[in-house]
Amino acid sequence: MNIFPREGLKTTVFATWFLLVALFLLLPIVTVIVYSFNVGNYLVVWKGFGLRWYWRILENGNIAATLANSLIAALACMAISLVLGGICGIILARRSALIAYPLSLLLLTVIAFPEIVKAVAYLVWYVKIDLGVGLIRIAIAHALFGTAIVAFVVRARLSGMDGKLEEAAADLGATPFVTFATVTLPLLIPAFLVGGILSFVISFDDVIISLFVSTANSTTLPVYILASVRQGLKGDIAAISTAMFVLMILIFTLAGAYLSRSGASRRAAMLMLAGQNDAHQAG
Amino acid sequence: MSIFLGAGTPARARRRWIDAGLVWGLVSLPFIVYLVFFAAPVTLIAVQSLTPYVAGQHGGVADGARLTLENYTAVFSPTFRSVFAASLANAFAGTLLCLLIGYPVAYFINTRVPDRLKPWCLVLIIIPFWTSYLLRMQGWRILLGANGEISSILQALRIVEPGEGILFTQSAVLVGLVYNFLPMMILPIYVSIERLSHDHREASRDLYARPWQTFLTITLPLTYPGIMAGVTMVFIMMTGDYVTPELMGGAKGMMVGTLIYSQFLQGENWPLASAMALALVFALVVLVLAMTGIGALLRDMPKVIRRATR
Repeated sequence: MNIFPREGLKTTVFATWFLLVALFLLLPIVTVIVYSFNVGNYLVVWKGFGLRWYWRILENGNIAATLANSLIAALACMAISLVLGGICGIILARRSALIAYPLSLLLLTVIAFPEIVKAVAYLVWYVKIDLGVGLIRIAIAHALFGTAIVAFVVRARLSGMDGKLEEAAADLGATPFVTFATVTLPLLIPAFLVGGILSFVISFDDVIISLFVSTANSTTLPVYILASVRQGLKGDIAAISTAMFVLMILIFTLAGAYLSRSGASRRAAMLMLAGQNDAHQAG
Repeated sequence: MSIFLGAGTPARARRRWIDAGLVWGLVSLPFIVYLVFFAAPVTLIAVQSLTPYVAGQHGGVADGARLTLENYTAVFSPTFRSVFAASLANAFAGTLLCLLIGYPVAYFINTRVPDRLKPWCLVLIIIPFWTSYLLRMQGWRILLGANGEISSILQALRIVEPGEGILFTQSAVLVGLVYNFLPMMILPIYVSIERLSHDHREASRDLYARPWQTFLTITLPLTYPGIMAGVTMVFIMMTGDYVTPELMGGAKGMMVGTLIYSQFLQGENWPLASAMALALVFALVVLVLAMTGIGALLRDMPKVIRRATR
């Protein structure tokens, strides 16, 4: 490969840069994980290793309650996003441009709209239409975003395959709905897996919109953590954050393993799970 | 009897009508949902931004109020204007830093790392993407605080005074913003370089282009979609982010988002907050269009120069 004499040196420079950036990206995460095992009263003053704060999570009723809220909202968001996003994705990939193009513009607008503006608009609207149940407010607001994400994942997956399989099913006498259930849906399982996880995580992690639209008894875990971090760093918050981190990495690893087994390259699987839809065709 | 008559029977015809109705119902469903839960809310704040603040009302909004532009005059008052300008400058600097830091990383993983190691390099970039936002922010607050590891290094280097951290400074805000959105810059660029076939660069090299010529005339223009996707997304998200500036910058981290937030939930002046939110959207639309234009110009620059110097 060394066509140019300075190639080796350049690779070293690039590699060093990459390692520095990786260090920069991982440093704060490792820091929180390490300090969550600090038994001292002050999170940032290291006293010794122990699970003290992990036991404290169990005693803190707020964490359990807000975690339950977050899970309910995220699951509801995922369910709505999968159904509505699946419909949108199929429209985008299989309907004429007359319908697909406006829909894709609409969904892109929803994705690109500044979150703070959406948060303001949703709250004003919920007050106006008198929708008072906090968890429903949160689930709908998150699902509008999640739907758009699922839609583009489904479109990417469908545009990687032509419509011939569906046409064949129709030629053999299957009704549109039988075709959908027996041909299209099974082909879309990887897309629904990726879209489902992404829409769940988007909801589970969201701070800005939840902060605006939630009500007193529908506080989500991120909103609780934010309120807590504003006051200062605390051991139990670091511990629950670390526990959630482990859970997320586990979910993504399992999903990645499934995608790799169902034909995608490991690289493509990872990019898909990071929301890069172009990887669906490459894989 | 009717079974043998095929498609023309009333039962079949009715069945087809039901199918068509269901399909159209499903097609219109997303439009209806987004009309009710997205378009209507945005329209509502647009209308609200044109109504005056009425003291004593919930959110300062009164029904049937006259229309006025006074909220927009308030938005463009010197105080607000300076915050607007500062947060756009912050987002601009942050986006540029993300691009300058991120492009070489994406380029390196693509072109210099053996295929077998690529997933492992990528996972290092993607892990922050899979990590909750607030965990990462806690990490920076530890590291940049007065007792933090990074602050200790900076203190030893005499960059900051002993016993001081850089948390709650403008630099901390920038670190937080760049940190948050760097993966979102690297990944689309990585995908766009991956799509670019190796042959293009090979051909350029075979034709005795110098490495930097290959980069400027082949790689950079062809990865333009990835760059623009990363730049626009990161810029929009940085401008609207208000939690990062607050957590990293404290009182010094005032950005448009902070302003909207405080007008909304603390000041209870919804009309003014709505006007600010819409002003932000307009500013972003104009800036993103301008950036796309400038980006296209820069992409075509090598071609123009080549033509001019031939």
